[in-house]
Amino acid sequence: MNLTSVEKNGVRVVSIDVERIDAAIAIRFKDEMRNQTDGGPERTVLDLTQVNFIDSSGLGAIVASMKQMGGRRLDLAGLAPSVDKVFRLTRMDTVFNLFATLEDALELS
Amino acid sequence: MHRNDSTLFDLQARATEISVREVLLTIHNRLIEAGYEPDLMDRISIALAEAANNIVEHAYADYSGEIRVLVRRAGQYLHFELRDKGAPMPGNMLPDGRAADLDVGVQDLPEGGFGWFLIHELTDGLRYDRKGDENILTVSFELPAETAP
Repeated sequence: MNLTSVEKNGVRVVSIDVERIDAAIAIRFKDEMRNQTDGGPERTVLDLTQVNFIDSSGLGAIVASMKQMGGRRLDLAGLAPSVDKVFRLTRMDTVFNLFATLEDALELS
Repeated sequence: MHRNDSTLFDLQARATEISVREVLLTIHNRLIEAGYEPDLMDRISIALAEAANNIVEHAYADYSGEIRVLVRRAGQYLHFELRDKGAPMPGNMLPDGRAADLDVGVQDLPEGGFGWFLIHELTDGLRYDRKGDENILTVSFELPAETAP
């Protein structure tokens, strides 16, 4: 698993290169997210375009990633249908802003 | 036996997060190849991942062991039987799945406890049996009448 980040118009975009954020990588994901978001701008977008599956451990790791950002905003982009389903069923779509594509997420800024 | 009543496959693995992932991917890929539709497969994959993770994290919290998954087609249902020899469910019962409370401050948002809620939401049938030293969790899905292979 690799996370990479770039800044676009004052927004940090963090991308992940795996297809699954599951129990096997949840803790490493959360730690890597800390590295990628520390000292970042007010808004970060996590680009999930490559991800086609998430379980509740992965969901918990994304929640933890947002909490460790100390009030700065974490939005999510590029959710596959299965990933979107997990966010909607758990009502986490009321906590995070979800965007169908990274382009949609960046248009807002 | 009815044409549609059969064991499709029977998989076994060490109950670790990595091995469980391989089993789940195998099930997903084989059922997609067999023609089961993607939306149903999303529900199945999420529910099975939660059930299997619970076995790794809770049933085998104190010692390690094997997990076995039998996939059975019975008429308009797909049944997934997850067997393990870990600790029984608390109270020998299926946990109920309550939605997490999100009406809290950001720092108090839950980072876990979604698993059983998702399993209950995504499945059409759930059954838990403890037989001897074995847990048997059966997770069932009704197949959409027209599209099932």
